[in-house]
Amino acid sequence: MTLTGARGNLMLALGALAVASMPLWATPYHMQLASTALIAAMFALSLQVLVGGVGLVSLAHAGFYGLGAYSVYLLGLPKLGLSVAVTLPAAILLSGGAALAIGALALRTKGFFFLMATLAFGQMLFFLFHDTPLGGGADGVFIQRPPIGITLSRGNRPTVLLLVNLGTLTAMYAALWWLMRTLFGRALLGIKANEHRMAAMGHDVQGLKLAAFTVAGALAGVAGHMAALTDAFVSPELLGWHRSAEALLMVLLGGIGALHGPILGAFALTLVQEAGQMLTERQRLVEGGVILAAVLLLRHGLAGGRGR
Amino acid sequence: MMRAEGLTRRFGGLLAVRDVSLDLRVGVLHAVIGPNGAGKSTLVNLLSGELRPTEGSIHLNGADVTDWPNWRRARAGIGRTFQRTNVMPAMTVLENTRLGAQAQGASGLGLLSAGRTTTEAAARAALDRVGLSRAAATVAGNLSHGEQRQLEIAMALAGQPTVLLLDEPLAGMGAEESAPIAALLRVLAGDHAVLLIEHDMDVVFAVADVLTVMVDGRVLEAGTPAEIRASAAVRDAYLGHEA
Amino acid sequence: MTALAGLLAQILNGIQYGLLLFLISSGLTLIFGVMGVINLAHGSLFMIGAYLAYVIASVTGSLWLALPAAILGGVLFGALLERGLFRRFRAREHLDQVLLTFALILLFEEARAALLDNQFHSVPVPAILDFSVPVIGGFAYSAYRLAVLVICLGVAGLMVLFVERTKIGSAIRAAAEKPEMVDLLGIDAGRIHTLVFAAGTALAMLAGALAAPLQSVYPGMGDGFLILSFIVVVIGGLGSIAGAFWSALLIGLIDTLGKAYVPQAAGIAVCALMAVVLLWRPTGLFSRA
Repeated sequence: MTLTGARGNLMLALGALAVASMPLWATPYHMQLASTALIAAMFALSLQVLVGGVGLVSLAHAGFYGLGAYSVYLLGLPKLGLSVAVTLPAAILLSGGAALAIGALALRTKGFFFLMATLAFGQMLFFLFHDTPLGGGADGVFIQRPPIGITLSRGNRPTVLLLVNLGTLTAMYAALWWLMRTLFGRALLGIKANEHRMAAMGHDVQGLKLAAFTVAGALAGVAGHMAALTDAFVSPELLGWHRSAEALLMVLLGGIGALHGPILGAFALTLVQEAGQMLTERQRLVEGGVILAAVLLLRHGLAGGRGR
Repeated sequence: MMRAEGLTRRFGGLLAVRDVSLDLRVGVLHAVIGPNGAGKSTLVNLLSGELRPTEGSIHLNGADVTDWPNWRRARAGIGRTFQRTNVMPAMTVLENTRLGAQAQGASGLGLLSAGRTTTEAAARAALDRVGLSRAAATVAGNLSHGEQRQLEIAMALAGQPTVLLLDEPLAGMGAEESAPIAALLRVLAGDHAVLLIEHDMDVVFAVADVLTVMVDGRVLEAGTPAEIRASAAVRDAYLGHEA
Repeated sequence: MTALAGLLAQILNGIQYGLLLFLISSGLTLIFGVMGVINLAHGSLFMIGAYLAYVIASVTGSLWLALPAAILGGVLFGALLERGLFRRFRAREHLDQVLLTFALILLFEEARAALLDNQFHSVPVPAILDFSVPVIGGFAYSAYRLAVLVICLGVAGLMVLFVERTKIGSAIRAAAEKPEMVDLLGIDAGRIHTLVFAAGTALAMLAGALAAPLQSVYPGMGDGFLILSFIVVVIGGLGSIAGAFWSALLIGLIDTLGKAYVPQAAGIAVCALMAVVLLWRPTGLFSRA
């Protein structure tokens, strides 16, 4: 993975400006759609830490996303009425903690075993909310949004949520841009390139992978938290492995060769899904076709760049 | 410095290394020679921690490191190179070497610093030493074979080890390329404990202070180059084939 | 007595469920082991087998035709998939394989929805087996379930015979353990791959057809089986048929008994078992390493 350079960041900034100006020209529906894409981008970006950063393909990632979402439900129950100042750190801690525990086990395996282990552990989180009353049931539950400092009304809600999501994604991207430049980030890229040599040179490969897994899980929790805040609804489906696969698709679509790739991938997939919904009832046909095309034809993703 | 006692490694029914003991000291270049399949690379892998011995022990500066994984031994001061070039081909020479340097420095939250100055200085010093400074910005995959062998050494040196395990550093090099590396080996022995695996007997006898001859996983003979040259057993078992 | 009879029934159910799991996961483990391909769509093949049984049973009125149809159809379909698609993905990265097979899941589900519908269907148990066999005392057990048990054991026995006793079988074993060995045996690796993939597909579809009368046939029914078969493979060890057999029985029993007695914890219990195995023996409970 290459780190996005000045020109790429300028393009991203222009894109962010375009999204930020949406309240001036777009309908509430389209602002909601943009919020969906921004949240998808956060989720995919958190996964890029693993896929592009250290070369791990995990199918447990949606589990951490869903945990972040459910922490809003669990802590935001009307009785407690806690604000985002509590729910967001809680989501980070819960998702990061779960990623630390699951990663410590799953990283004992490699290759296919790692994929299968993450799939199974992710589904364990899914079952936790699907089969037990902990999360309000298998069909999902509407939640009360925790206070965010601005009183939401029907009129200002799409605008406020859009800007909050844009700000969160920007902060997450900036944090990762910095993180990948530290010694830690460079060590991750080294592991992706040649794990064996990195260990031989004295890098604690297992520890670094676990740290990356934890960071990625915690950031997925942030994305899930924002999803719950935006949609005011959580369901076990958020934790299902199909959603992990979808995030992997966004990463692949955007390109694992560049840090910002998943942002492009998330917007592209959201648009394709939206267009598919307008044109046909056969959603899965569209998504399956997009994946086939991406896997068969698009080897470097929308962002290009080396790293494959 | 580094001491191996009674090292044995079994792969299924095969004894790749049996009862090998040796001492490595700073200032001494210890070469291990032997025909293919004698267990030389296995020995390096046992010393570096890539493999665990079936029997025997390894001590480094008095500490028992037998059960340490390779990365912990590397941190404790063991640097190694590989028989087959083993680098990060898509990264530049400097990036490759810097990763060798940074493994020794920060850990934990210290990894969250950019750490450019310290790691880069160590990396550049290592590149200087092997004579690869001019190629610092070249992508490793684009280096010539000889330069990749130099990079192998630089990556090990960047971690500022006290023990250097060099597994055929001259493999595949022409005479012209290998001469400066052979000279470098002599220099490195000045401030490192060096273990050298090498097939080129001219180089080995020119640079080694101590020689261990391995055949079929066992130590056949050990001694100074002069003693080894004079050994009838070695001549029969090994050197005779070369002449 | 009724509690004991209930327990006995659940244990038999668990064994029968485990054997179905074995049919699915033995194909999965061989495909991993021999081809190095991860197939997330393996659960969808199970689903296709179940729907095939539903269609055949409702058209002809007999489930019996569905079993050979699932096997033959599976062999053809599997060979086609391997030659047309999976062959090209052997050398690709995990990410590509995961996404390709995820796309197949979506496309298979969509094809099912287009050809049939999105409803739940039940498939009647064949009339000839629609009775209960008295086991001990007052306890009787469904004859069809017993038949499934026997068929699965028969298939497992045939597989072991084939893999242990034939030349192709030993090539498959060699390929699962050491891919570079296959060439030494003088056997075309490409044909082994097609064979393994076709057999794996046929086994998954057969399992689907057998399971159709036991549970409803419904969209996404392969998903649960996919996860459980993955866990079976992790616990059993990669490429090991014997490992798949014992761990499938173990998982089948735990899942069935769990669902019967502690329904809220069954899904988690199975994953927790895998966690313990990973901690204790990361290469699987039954692997030699």
